[in-house]
Amino acid sequence: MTRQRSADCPSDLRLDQWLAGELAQVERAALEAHAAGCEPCQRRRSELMDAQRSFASSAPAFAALSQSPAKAGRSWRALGPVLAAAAAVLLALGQPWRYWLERDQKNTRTKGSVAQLDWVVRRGERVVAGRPDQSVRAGDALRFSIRAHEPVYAAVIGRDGAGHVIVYYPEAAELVQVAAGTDQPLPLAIELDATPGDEQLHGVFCPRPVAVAQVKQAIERSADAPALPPGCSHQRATLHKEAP
Amino acid sequence: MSPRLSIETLYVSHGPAVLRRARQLLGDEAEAQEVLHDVFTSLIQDPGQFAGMSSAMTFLYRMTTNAALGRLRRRRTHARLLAANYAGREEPTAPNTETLVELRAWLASLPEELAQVAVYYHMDELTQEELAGVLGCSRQWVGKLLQQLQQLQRRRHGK
Repeated sequence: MTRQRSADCPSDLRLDQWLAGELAQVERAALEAHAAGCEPCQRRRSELMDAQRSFASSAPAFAALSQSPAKAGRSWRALGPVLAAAAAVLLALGQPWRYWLERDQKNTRTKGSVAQLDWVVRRGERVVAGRPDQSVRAGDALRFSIRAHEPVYAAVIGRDGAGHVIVYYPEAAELVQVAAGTDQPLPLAIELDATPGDEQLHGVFCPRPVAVAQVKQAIERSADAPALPPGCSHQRATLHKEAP
Repeated sequence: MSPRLSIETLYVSHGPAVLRRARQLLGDEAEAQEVLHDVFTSLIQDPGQFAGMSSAMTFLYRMTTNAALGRLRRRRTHARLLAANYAGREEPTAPNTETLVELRAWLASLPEELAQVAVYYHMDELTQEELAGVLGCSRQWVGKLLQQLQQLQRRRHGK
């Protein structure tokens, strides 16, 4: 019931919050920095991610919850397509639970940033919530939304395994304003190509219009700590592209 | 947006942690799936339970722990108490199956609040700060609960 870890290692609760995208930017960065040099934490994270991946195919379908537990347990495989269909609906709707969870927390801010980039990943009929350090495959489709506590100018930029920097959003010369809200969908969906290696996602949020080229150049020069205009914040996530 | 749809999303993103946690506590796949069922059915019936919570994961950890402890209590007549060498370990090690059975029996014998603390502290190895967050109380109160737990452990082992 326990795992071997040092006093510095995060608890399973912390790792679960991380994988669910619940940690603030500062907390997430600290945890990622620790995990990068901690073999037991990397192993534990892989275990938790494997469990997440197998859940959709092995756990009872959500639709079965209205039945008795025994009946639900018997029928979950048959109801698999129901969960998949529900997930497809969720892809279109973004991550509504965030609104639901945060409806009583208006006027609070995510630590370290006025906004956060969220996404969902669709693979065939399955849809999973985006999270940092996520495994993806060529052909997976990503759809993005932004959580912002106040109107913010935003950009979404990708950096593929070959080091190429691509501006996903916006298709304009300057960052585009996104309204405040907990689930502001962007008119953007991408399909991952077969370029091997890790794919970085960068969310950039600024209080005023900034040239997209300036932001892109800053990320090209330093993906870890881009020199952005004053007042701008930066969020980075890494998607690990699995072999097809 | 209907609450049911929101919970459906939560089921996909947080359900794996609920199921894993129930498995850890109960050591029984069928019962763990029933806990998963109970937790999310409860949310469908009363979505307001989430109001004011900053972390869905923390809330679901607590719900899962409570549901699993309730089941352990019902198993109590079939269990023995915790092995003598469990109490007071500074560095928990991976326990064998017999110790897990005894640990679950010991949890079932504790008052509800202390059983939760024992799970979070000994099994999850949460810090006192994390424990306060999950229980929704102050660190001082967590300290008092841990003292009570230690006293019960000492009493159990005649120290």
